[in-house]
Amino acid sequence: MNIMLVSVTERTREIGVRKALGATRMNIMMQFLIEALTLCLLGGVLGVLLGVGTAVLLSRVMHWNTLISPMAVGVAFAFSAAVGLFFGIYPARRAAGLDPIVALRYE
Amino acid sequence: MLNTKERMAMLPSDVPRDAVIVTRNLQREYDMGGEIVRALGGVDLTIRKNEFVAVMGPSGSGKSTLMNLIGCLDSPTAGEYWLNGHRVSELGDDELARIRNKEIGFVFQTFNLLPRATSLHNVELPLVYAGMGARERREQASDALARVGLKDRMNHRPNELSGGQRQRVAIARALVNQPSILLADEPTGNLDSATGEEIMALFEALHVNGQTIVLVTHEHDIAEHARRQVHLKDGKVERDFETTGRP
Ligand SMILES: Nc1ncnc2c1ncn2[C@@H]1O[C@H](COP(=O)(O)OP(=O)(O)OP(=O)(O)O)[C@@H](O)[C@H]1O
Ligand SMILES: [Mg+2]
Repeated sequence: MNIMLVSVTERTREIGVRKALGATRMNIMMQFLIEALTLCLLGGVLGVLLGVGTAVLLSRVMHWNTLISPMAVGVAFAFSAAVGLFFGIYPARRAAGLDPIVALRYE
Repeated sequence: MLNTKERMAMLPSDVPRDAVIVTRNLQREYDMGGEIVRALGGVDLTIRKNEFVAVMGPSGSGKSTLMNLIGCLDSPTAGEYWLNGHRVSELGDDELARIRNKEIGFVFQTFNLLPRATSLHNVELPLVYAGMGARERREQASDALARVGLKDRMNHRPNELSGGQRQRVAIARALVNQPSILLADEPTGNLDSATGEEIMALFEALHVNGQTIVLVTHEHDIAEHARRQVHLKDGKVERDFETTGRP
């Protein structure tokens, strides 16, 4: 979850520990991908809420007529997920390929 | 007729039936940009079920290298290794991961617990990778914590525990999958001597209960708890002898 908040050292050692305990490449890969996806979807939710909130506020204050199309919301989510996958795959593959001994010793 | 590979894959005939670890001419070299560093220069070792072995030797003699090979964290550059009669020296990544999960319990000098996870969660991790369901996992992890005397610290995080308690959590994690060997590389290296003795008492108790243990140490006091000492020097076994252990 806290992919951005945790140091590289901590994450690298975590991978070493998980591998020493029996995690396969695929296990590590999936963990990192799911983290990236979760983060981006969370961003998607926040973005949509912010957008809708602003639209509603503007329509109240300025007496504009706003229309929130489900299509736009859908596209926003799909885009978030795509960004998550795209930018998640590289670090996930790298993490999965780490040598457990090197990862455990990482300072 | 057997081809060379099949013949090589067979356990040597002089190996006792209860051998857990068998290595023959086990070697590990590192290529440091053209210069070859020979960390392990041909080790023959047989460790039987329920043995309690201390691996000793000066810094750089290859103790950790040997432990990493025995623990399937690393692969030899030459030589053979059989674990419970299965040849593991040429297995691939995923098979090695499975063996680490089922057959090996690691204890490290620096504990290597996940800092944000509770004791219970840390101990559950090997079971997660074994594919066990949540309820059974919880049960077995709390049993393992009880075995090391930490039933009342299940929901503590590592930074809420003392060094000795952290190492106990790590030992519970190493035991939770009922591994055929417990491997510990300097498990008391980061502990004061009183706490180190407590950890050794725990290892002794596990040994009495049938656990096979291999531990690395450079302290004679610690090694005296074991029943056999293997001394390495320059990547080779220099001496290998049984001891009475300390009461
Ligand atoms: N990743 C590596 N790359 C290159 N050389 C290495 C590597 N790991 C170990 N070596 C070398 O192999 C030799 C054995 O190292 P090893 O870590 O097994 O020693 P050790 O007996 O555990 O020592 P210590 O008591 O200091 O922990 C040393 O000369 C070391 O420099
Ligand atoms: Mg070492």
